[in-house]
Amino acid sequence: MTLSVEELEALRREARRLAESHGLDPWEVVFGVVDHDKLNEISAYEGFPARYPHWRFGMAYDYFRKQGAYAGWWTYELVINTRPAIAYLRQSNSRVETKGVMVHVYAHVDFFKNNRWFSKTNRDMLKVMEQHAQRIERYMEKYGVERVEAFIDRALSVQYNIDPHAPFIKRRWGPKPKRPRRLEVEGEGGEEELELQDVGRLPVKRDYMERFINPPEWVEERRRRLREERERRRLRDATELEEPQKDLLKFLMRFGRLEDWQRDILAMVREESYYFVPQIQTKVMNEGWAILWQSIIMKEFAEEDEFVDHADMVSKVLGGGALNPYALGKLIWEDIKERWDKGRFGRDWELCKDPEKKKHWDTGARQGLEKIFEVRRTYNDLTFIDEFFTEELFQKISKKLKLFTYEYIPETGMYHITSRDYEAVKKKLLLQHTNLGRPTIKVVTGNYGNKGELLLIHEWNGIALHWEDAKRVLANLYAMWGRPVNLKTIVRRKVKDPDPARARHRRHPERPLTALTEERGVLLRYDGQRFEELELPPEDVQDLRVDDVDYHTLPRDWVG
Amino acid sequence: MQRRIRKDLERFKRIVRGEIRKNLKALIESGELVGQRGRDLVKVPIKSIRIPEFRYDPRDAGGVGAGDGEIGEPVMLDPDAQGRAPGQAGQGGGLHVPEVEIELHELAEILGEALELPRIRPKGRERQARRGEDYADVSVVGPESLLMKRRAYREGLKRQLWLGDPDGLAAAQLAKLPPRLRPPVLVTPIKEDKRYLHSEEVPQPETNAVIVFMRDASGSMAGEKTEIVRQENFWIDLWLRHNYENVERVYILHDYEAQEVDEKDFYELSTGGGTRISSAYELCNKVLEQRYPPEEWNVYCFHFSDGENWIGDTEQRCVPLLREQLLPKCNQFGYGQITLGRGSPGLHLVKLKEHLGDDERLVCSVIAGREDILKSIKEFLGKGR
Repeated sequence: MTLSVEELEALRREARRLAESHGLDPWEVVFGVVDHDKLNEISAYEGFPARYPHWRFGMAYDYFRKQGAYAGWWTYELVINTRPAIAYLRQSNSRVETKGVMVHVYAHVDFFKNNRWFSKTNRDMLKVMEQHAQRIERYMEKYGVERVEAFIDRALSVQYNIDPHAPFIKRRWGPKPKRPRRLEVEGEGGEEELELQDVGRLPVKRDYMERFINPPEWVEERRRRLREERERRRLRDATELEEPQKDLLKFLMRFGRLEDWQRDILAMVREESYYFVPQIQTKVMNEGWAILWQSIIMKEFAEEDEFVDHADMVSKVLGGGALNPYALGKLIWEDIKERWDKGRFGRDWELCKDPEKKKHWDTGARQGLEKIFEVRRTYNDLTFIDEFFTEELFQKISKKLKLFTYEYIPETGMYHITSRDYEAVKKKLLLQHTNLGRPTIKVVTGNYGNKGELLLIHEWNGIALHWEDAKRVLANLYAMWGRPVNLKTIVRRKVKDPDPARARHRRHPERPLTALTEERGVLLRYDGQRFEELELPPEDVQDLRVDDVDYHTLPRDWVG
Repeated sequence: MQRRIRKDLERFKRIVRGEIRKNLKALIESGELVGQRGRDLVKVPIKSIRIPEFRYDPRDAGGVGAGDGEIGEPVMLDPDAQGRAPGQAGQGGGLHVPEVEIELHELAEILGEALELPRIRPKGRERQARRGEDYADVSVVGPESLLMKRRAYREGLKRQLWLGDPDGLAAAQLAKLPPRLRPPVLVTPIKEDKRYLHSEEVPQPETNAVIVFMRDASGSMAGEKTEIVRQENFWIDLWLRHNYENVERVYILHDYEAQEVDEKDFYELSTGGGTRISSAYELCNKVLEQRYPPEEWNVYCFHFSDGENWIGDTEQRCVPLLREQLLPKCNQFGYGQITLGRGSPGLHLVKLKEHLGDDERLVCSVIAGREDILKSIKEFLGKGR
């Protein structure tokens, strides 16, 4: 079953030729053939041949191994976004699987090369990862494995607290404009008075008494302290940001109380995060794109006795429900192509309310191919789903996929189906793809309360934080910041239903019921010893609210 | 040179072991592991291994699912495992493993280390070849339970295509149509299409053990007491299976009379009758005599009850039965008396000790509640017999 190098090279050439003939424009790809154990290892390292020593790679490796041994699924393809791109083929792949994987890989690399969100990624990451590994190994030799690994754990707990849009726009990262200092405005003579007051020199009437009343070494000591104090104040002022920022890692690197090696580790973690962000941001598109082209091209590439096996391979990849990014992405891409081929876009289409007419709508536009290539250039998952996961598409696929939304009901301790409507499903999908599917946390100041404390805010879109995790992250931040850390957020608490009329619904047997809740502002604080939760008045958290969308899909009559 | 990933794996395993050992008592008492057991793996819910991040509370975020169900119906899902697809990896973002899965024998080792259990020295007997557990091969013959269904259908479809079977031929042409327009294709695999998982036979010496679990099923043992029995048995079973190649289990329930049941019934059935423990011991003896001759089997018996017994049954029937029949056949006979903190435990334990206390094959343990499970496991398994 194993293919020779010559055979592989022939297949590769053909795969590339076919990909290019369909308009794909990938970089060079270097294919490597590895056995399944090595593939598990590379998968654990997120595609790279080597990463720095860390237990989580061992965890991932263990996971992939067991998936292969007990659950019978394994990694088919693995490609990394470098130039040239590197892809791995599993040794035991059959000929048709190899063909499929090659085409799939070329589509991915086309995406890496041409999608705008990848335009700023470092394509030399292979070398960078290798350097990171060496540097961290050196730190481990010098400072001890446990200590370095523990610090990496802490850094990783904020690894995606970066600013995904930062590579594309210039953020104003300055400190707040200085408050005018009292003495600076007093003009002439102020400088001397400052010196007198701050150094604490006592006025001397007779010059010869000066060195007894204000001994020079004492004055020098005072001056030194004063300089230090000013420097500290300058730094503190610098941490008072003009606008809250998302790049918490950058903030910690600049202002955290860290040793140089720790700062360096933060820098490495941050660099790796920025590298991976576009892949997270375009997963649905990218996977859909690859499987779409695999299916199209394999119609030519697979030989007659192979297409059954190929169909089997594709169906395995697409299995696992609608939330499989391969399946979701492919459906949307196919729909875009069909719509632009049949002219189902633009004003006339939008305004048409006749479902019969829409069903047979075909203007013969034939712009599908052009459109999908345009979309692959500029979109990311969020804009892709927002624009192209349309109600028509939803209706078309809903019979087969049976999508629904679910919410947790604390009273039953279970998740319940809440809706099968388009709006609800789309809302949840958008939530999953906004800000990498994570809550937005920003750093406001490193001088909160003028005490050098860190203040973060959680921009509230209606979804609460995982409280235990948030606390553990704060504890990690404390260790890196060196002073107490604070997080302003909103929590939801149960309240009594003020409307007694709804009480009778409570005996309604047909649907789950949940208590009415209320949003409260909270300041979560950790001072190195214990956590405090201070309740904040509503006006204090008003500016945390950013999103008008209610992402919850709980039917109104379940509440009360 | 040792591969990097091996070191990462070692570090990870050491962390997992450390966490399990630290939380072993709590894990045992909560019974969380017992329900999580697969054939080879056990899921360990250890949250502290996860690197914390600012993330949404999954219970507040809800989500999207696919499948049948009315609005309002509960859905079974694991929100941590959302959006994962087979065959993909390395696309960044890290991997979130909600629970750590460890192999049963690893868990057994941890248990052994934590409780300082001595390795059992089996009454070693060479035995015949054993079929390997690795199904690395494919064969055209085999038992139906090892049939590779997907593969069979694939081969069947291919054959139909080659033969020009109308149904199959249609499939070839229809494959180009969009899926929703395709009529279903009937593929009927015949004998030649079938493929079976196949394992090599590897001759290996084998050690056998049989565990006979006995439980008083009378009403007073229901609920929490049975739960404790379940926990005890899980850990005993785990440890013995770690020590023997081949372990068989026998479940005997008794009230006034005894019967052999399967594992599920063992924990679920409850009866209202009185209690006559000797009925279970008699049945146990019969099973051993008929199916598990002691010269070929390492025999372990464990009996749990709340200590109440028919008047005179312990002294007149149980004790002689144990002394003359059961104990000579056993590596060990364990009796656990579950009192659940009640002031006046039954007398079965007291009398066993009184009459047979000097026989080291008999181990008695009093379990007053979940907090005693760990201690009693150590008592049962601590002798290394």
